Amino acid sequence: MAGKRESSPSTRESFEREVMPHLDSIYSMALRLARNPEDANDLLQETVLRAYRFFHQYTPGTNSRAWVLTILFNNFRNGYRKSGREQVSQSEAEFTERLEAESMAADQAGSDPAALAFANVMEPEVTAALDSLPEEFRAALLLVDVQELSYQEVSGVLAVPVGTVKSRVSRGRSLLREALHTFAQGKGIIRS
Amino acid sequence: MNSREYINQFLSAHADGELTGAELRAAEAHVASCPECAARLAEERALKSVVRKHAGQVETPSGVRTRLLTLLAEEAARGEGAMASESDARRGASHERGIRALRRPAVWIPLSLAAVLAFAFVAVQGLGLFDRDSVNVVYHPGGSPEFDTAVAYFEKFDHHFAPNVPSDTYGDIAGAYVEAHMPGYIWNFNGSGLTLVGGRLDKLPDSRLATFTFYKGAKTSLLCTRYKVSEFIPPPGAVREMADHLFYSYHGYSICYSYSPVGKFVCLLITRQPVTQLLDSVEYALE
Repeated sequence: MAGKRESSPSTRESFEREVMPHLDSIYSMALRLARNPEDANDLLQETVLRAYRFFHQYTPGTNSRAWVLTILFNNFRNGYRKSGREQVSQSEAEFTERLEAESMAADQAGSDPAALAFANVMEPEVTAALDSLPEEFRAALLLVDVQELSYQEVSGVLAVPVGTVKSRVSRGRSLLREALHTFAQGKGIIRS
Repeated sequence: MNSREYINQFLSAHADGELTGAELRAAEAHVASCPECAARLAEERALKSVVRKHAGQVETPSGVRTRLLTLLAEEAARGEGAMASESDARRGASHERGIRALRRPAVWIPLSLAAVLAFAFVAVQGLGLFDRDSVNVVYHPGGSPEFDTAVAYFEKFDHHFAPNVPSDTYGDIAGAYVEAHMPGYIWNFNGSGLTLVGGRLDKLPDSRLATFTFYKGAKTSLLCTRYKVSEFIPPPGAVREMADHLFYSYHGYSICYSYSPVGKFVCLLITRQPVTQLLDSVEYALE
């Protein structure tokens, strides 16, 4: 029958071979997006089951991790936002304004960016700085720096042009740098 | 190339190994002659490794992994490993089969919840009870009560929409929705010529909340409705599917139906635009 696809041992085997090795990648990204383990588990479960149902659309030989991450992002951006920590209304302008306010509170003036000692920055600061980024920048950075996808692959995952990926990575990293700088100043890691 | 150009346009791509050919040569030449930019490049690379080190991969908890494998086994046992392709979906009768997979619960639930689902269905039908005096729901025989209700709200708000939450910006509306524990994702259809008019939060008869976000263009308008459901059961008859969004042509209206598994909210976009135009608007907005 046209279009009817029965699940077969080979389908499941192929799926487990192609997709399941990336489970930790998918879970890590789900955790970063959902920001709590319970929602991350839901997101992971929905993503893997959906990937299985749509597995016939996967092209063998292409990057299966990028393919599953695409499904993860589709699931995530279909409107899920939760109250509490999620800063959905935060625009880049609002973010910059808040960062500047925190920066002023943390310190006096005239810092030297070159002195920023990233080596001394600890995990809580990095996580907090990443979480404080507007979502589009955070996603682009995580996909490039953690998942190590190319701009072309990120373009597919986020369904945006490569040029947009490029500008989001650039802007995101610049905002992250400012945020870490602010944290470092606050902790006295760097001095103004 | 000066330092400003390098930092704004090339620095990140340079650190990410995304430059090639003439761009790479120009970037390398600039860095070789500019100590400040060389330092920035080193810093950019350090930033990358800090992110990778501190926000990197975590191991999936073994319980979660085991649960997933069980669900996959159940899925495989059902013998419905995949949906029909879009070309199959276009073949009329085959289409129904294509959508069947989506009508199944996205997350498997015990049958004992059937009563809850039945209640939810009645509740969705009851959507029209809110503002009963002013919303005239016309139920099409064999149609979708959910869609009929959405159409009624669309007609009501197309005639007159008065926001009841702060609506000066997307952020205002999102903030009000999130404060009410509703999804704060606000579609941006600016690129499709639809301007945001405002948002409403209205309580449904069963005390669930619904959000109504309204957009207006020169010749058309669009209403986005969101509310929580117990389970994802999209109506049959979708004519297109894109990135988990189902598109319907419904008695002169075009409807886009999507579902957020986390939080269990459905999102209904309704307009009088043709489906192809709604598809374009959604595709553009998703970018």
